[in-house]
Amino acid sequence: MAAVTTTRPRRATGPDRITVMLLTVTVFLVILGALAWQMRSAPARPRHRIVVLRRVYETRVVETVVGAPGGGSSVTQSVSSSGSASALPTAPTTRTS
Amino acid sequence: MQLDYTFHAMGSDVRLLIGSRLRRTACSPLDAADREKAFVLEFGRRLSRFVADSELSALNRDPRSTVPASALLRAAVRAGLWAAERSGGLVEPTLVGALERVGYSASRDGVVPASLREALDGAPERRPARRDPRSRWGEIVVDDEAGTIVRPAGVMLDTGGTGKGLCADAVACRLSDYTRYLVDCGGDIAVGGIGAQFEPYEIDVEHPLTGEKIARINLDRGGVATSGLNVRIWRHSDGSFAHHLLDPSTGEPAWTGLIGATALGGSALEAETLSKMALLGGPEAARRVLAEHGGMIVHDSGDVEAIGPLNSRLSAPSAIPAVA
Repeated sequence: MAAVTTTRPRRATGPDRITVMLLTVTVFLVILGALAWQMRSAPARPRHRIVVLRRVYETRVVETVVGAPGGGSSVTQSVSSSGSASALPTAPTTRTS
Repeated sequence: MQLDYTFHAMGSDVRLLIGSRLRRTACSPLDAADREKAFVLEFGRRLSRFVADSELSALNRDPRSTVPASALLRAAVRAGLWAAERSGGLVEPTLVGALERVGYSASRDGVVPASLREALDGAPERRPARRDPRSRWGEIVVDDEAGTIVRPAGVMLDTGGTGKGLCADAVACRLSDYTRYLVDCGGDIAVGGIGAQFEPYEIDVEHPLTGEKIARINLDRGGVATSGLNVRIWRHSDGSFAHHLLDPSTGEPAWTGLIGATALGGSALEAETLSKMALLGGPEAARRVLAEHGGMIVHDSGDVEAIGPLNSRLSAPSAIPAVA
């Protein structure tokens, strides 16, 4: 006896595709309109001026030998500074040594 | 941005000015300065005749005529021989015995110098120093292939006359990864880097009598050095004075009518050699010696004289008083 297979037609349980598309487009347009309205009604804000602060850091290392020549301890001072002209070191000097 | 780094080595202050990195793989300027400090300290320790276990002291003690030598010692001796050749024997590296006889047998680092003014008052008649025809520096051979130094037995070498210039040049070479650099080894200065071409370093010249800054030189490459009588000068118990720049022909301190000479050169080593040549040669010879690269001499009177192309490099030429 041959088996009889019957396929029951699928019943749509929600809104059909066209309704979904229409709803999606409608929601999109509503959101777009709301945004456009907000932007138009917002007060005009002044344009920000961009200021670039350039900081020049100078690292100066001064090592001073304390004690006997050749065998003394060393004190190292490392200074980071910016800006001040007074922090500039003296010019190199050629001299008798 | 530039790193300014100072430390003490070879009996002098050593100062490094290092600009930004040229290559991203180069270490930071501060790390480079730390590295070069170690190099300079090692350089000084291995080549000092005042350090008993230095390579130079070992060479001078060695009874053999052919002595194995490190690349550093060979380079230092070769620099001394180059200076002797360049100066026609005035700046020569075999005066160790004479230096010890006049009292320069130990480091004078930290020792207060005697008064140069008093020394000048009691100094003998001024005359140019001369080469010593009996000197044997011409027989010294540096053999890099064999890794040896060949010299007549008993001839002792002193690299002190050229060591700081050589060291400044060596460190400058090692800083070629940076935009600009200045290496000051106790007043012997090497300058380089692309940045220095556009913005030269300004280098002050110190007067040997007063300590005042008498000129400011713009230097974009090469070297500058000063030799003078005002630092390594001492008084004997008999009241006479001596200093470390000897007349090779007599083995005695040279009193030539000059107390200081500053020279520009293609390198710090050349500048150091030229400045010593100028001082030892006296005023007339100094004008010839310094004519090519430029320089400055200070007479016994304290008068300052700019020579050759130096004038075009001075920031304030009028700062140099007229020669009497």
